[in-house]
Amino acid sequence: MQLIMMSEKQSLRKSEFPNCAREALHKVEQLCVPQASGRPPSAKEMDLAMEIMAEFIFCEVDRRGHSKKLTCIQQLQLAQLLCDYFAGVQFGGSGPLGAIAGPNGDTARNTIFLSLFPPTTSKGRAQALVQLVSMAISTKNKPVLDSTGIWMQQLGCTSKLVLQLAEGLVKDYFVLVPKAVTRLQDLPALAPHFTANFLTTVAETYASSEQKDGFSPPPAALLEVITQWVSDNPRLCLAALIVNLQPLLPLGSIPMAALTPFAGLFKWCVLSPLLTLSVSNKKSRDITNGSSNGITSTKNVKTEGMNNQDGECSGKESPLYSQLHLALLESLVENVYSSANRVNSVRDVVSVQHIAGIVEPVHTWYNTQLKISERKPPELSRAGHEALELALDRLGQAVQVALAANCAYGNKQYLLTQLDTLKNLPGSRLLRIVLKTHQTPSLF
Amino acid sequence: MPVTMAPSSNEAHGLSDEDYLVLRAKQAFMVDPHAAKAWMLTAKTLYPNNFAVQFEAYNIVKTAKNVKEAAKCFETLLQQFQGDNKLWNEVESLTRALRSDISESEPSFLRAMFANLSTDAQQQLLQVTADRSKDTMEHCRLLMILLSRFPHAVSKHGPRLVDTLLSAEKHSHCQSPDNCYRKLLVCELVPLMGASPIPVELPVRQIYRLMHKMVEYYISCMLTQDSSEADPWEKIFQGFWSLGLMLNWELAKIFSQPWGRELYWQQIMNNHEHFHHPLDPESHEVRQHVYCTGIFFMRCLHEYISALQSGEHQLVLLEAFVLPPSEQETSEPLPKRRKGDDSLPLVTVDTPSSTNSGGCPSNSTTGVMNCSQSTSSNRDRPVFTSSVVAHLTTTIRCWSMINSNDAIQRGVTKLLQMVGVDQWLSAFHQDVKLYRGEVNELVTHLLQAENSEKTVQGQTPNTAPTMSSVVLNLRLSSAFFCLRQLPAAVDRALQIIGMLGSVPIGGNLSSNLLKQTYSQRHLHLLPLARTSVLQYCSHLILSALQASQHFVSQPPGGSATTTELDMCVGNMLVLLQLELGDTNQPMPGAIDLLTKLVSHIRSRSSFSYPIFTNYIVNADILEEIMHLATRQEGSVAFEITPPSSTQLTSQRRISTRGVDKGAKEDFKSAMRRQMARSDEPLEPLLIKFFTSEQDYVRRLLWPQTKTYTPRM
Repeated sequence: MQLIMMSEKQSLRKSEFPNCAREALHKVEQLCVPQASGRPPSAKEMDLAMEIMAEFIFCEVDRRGHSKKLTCIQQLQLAQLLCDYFAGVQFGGSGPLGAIAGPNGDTARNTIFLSLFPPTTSKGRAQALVQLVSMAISTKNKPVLDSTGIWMQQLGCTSKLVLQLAEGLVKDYFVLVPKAVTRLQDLPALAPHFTANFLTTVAETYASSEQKDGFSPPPAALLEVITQWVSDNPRLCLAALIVNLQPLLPLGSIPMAALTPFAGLFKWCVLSPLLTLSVSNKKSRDITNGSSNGITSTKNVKTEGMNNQDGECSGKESPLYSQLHLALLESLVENVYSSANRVNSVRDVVSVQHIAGIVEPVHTWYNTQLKISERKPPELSRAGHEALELALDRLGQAVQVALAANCAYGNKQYLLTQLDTLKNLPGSRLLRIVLKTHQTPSLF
Repeated sequence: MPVTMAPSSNEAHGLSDEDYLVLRAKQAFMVDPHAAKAWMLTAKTLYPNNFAVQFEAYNIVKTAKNVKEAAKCFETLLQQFQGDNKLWNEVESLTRALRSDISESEPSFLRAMFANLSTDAQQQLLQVTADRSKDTMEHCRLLMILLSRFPHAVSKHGPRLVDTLLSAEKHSHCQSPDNCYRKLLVCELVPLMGASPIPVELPVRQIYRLMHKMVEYYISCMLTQDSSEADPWEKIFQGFWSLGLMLNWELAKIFSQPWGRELYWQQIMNNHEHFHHPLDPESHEVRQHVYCTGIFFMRCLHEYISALQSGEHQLVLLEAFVLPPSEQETSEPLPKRRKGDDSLPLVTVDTPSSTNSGGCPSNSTTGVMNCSQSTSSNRDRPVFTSSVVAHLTTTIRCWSMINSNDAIQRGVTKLLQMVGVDQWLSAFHQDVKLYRGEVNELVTHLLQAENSEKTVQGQTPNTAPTMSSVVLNLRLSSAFFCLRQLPAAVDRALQIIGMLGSVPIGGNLSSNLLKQTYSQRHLHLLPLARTSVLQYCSHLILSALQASQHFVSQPPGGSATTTELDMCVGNMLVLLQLELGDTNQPMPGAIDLLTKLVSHIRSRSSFSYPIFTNYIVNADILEEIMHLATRQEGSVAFEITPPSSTQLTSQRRISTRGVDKGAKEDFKSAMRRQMARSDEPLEPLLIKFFTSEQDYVRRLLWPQTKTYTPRM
């Protein structure tokens, strides 16, 4: 057995990159994908496959085990090769036997994809993945994008690797290339599952609790693309819920639950007016001191915080947030009211905990505003008041529509209790109406 | 900074929660439509059963002119709040908008919104509105909109709507077929039923009724020159075809073909040949033949009548004049003789020439029976010229076929009565009688018509002669001429000349009045224009004079007196001037006649025509006379001026007789004066002649037919 494995490697060593990588992919396919017998690969076979990947596909180590690296050109060659491989190869066995008993093409492709990029993927290989997916987006390579979407879901949209991928893609498409919108327009139609998971990941990236204010504004181009995607494709945010992953996964795998982008994107919309105000305030107070919010925030200040009025600086929120917010609400309603095919309506769209996560940053912002207020007793400026009301209006709308559309799952009482803490804030009338509608009357 | 502005506390304080949400939506609307929609969406989920909220949501998107959203909201409203009055008002303005084509923004928006509703909602909306409507017309119009939008509903609702419209028309006591119920029935419902994807089932009687109503309607549009109905025949044919299909009429399929007279005629003829006597008038076959033939005949008839009127001047079919071929063997070769040609009359018509209104003989074509080939070869000519003859002959052929069978004749006659084409038929019947040579009948008929017209006119005396009496007299004159009742014919012709003032000015001298033909008879379509009518009358009188005297063959001193004979020849010379024309193109036969007249004069020693200088100005005639008067041997003595007062006392006349040298000079100078007048327009001269000298003309014809009492 050992000898056979050795000879496999020896034969692969005879050819140079990228030919060795191409041959190696076929070896890996033979090893990982269960053949007609339906027998899953043994541990030894899997080990060999991993070794072959490391040495011949990604070229991370040489024959003696010393680490090495592909040149930039070679990296691109590899991405191209993988794209071609996933798009062009007929999976699922060659004979009639294989076709019947073996896994279907999608499953085989996903199996290899998941093997190539396991959760323990190294930084270098993660970089290769970014290049692969980036290329797949620009060449509209649906097989690669479909597999990537499944890979994202299986690893978890908030896992480090997936966040890294999303970050890489955002850098490729939104930071480096300014006019990405038109090129990405039809991505939801091409690969809805991938797009939905990408949305979720990106939404979390900019709205993670690790962010200082609970939210960091995304690049303008990204916001624009997302707004357009969601507005034009009312079922896009639900895409990950609709796909049944089980038959697409390697034998014995357990499908991971999908996470929708709703909560994350709602958080963007609710917190955006608050953050826009803070940033512009900060700018007016300390215009030379830069920003602690990283590159994106600085950009935001530069491009959007230019309007000075009455000494009180008012940053203008991008109108896209309002449009995105509406598109999200309509997507929720669509799920229920697109009466023609109620069969397609899905539940458990967004968890109440996830929505409730929006409450805390609002409190934090409010308290900060009071702290920096120069009035006695401390109160919000007029602009602050308006920002807060808009934030609470959007929160109230999101909660109301999600509840009415029966899209929220989890402990609703918890959500209502959390919301209840906001009801004494100024501008919370809608929130009170929503609470009144959904709270069961107290016994007292 | 925020895109939406919260309402001032005063404004919002007293508001209910529902109104608060509506207010926020309305306020946001001006600043940020997305925010406004988000508010409305929230409000709708909070208060799904609140009409005011839902209606406001509709109003907001309607104000925003968002057709799709409005349709969505409206559909929700329709499903949930059908009883609400406010909604009902909106439904009514919607259905009103659907019935109109006003381009104002509100109705066009509503129409666009309707188009965006689901088909179920559209159908439901119209059905409910129609059922609620109390006004019949309103109800029918709504149902019609329903049917035009949902062709599958036609077979279900169509028959009931037919009943409703028929009875509504009956009870409205509309006199004219051009009423709103009929229009809806014929112009909209019949085509809809024809196009229905599911065959519409109607009682047979009802289908016949629809056929009558449809044909009657379009015919009345044509009679009143209602231009709002374009292509009425196309519509009749289309409708007739679809109704025929409902009756399983094979023959009705011909009406789906593009119109071609010959094409249709062949198929109807083929069908006709299947019939064998006796026929059951109620049978399926006879009925379909009666209806299909009847419709075809009506179109031919209409085309013929239209062709008569399509030119600058209306045409009227008259008996014209035949030049016996034997006498003219040297002239232009005759059209090839065909079998049966001589039993049918030759029919001619002039092509209208754009130049030369008068004087010069116009270009002409001759339409002969069986002339379909010549019709197609003359495509580039003005349409009616060649086709009017073809129209006439086809229509007559069709009419003959109809009349060849009793059952069919009765059926078609009944159909024609029902749809009201009498106006076209009466003129056509006269033409048919003339064409077939049933001239005695024609005269009886025309005299009856004249009498009845007179009784009508008797009540309003002193009316100027109308075109219809000109036409009547023309027909009578030509009919009398055909019957060789020459004095009557001439008398009518003279009367017509008296009425020329009411005939439109224009027309050309035609070279087609006298034709050489193997046919026994020659008919001409004469334009009702002053020159044409004058020429016709003049030629008719000339022919009558020629026929009455037979002077050529008579030895001098026959039954007619010398004076009468001279008078007659003189008159003929006067009339001949029009035929000779003022160009080098005399009418056929004119030169021959001149030769005859001159040789007649030459054969005598003297010629007396006292009004010669008044009326004869033609250079050719004058030259001939000069020649005769100045010949070395056997010169003729002419007496050509009326006696003047001095001459009467001196007993001297301008004459070439005798030795009076002064008299000879007088004659020569008189002839010179006449020659100087040779450019004088002939028409006024002739009219003057006919008016002043009609006694002469009459007297010449009078002795021959004692039975005739001329009107004076």
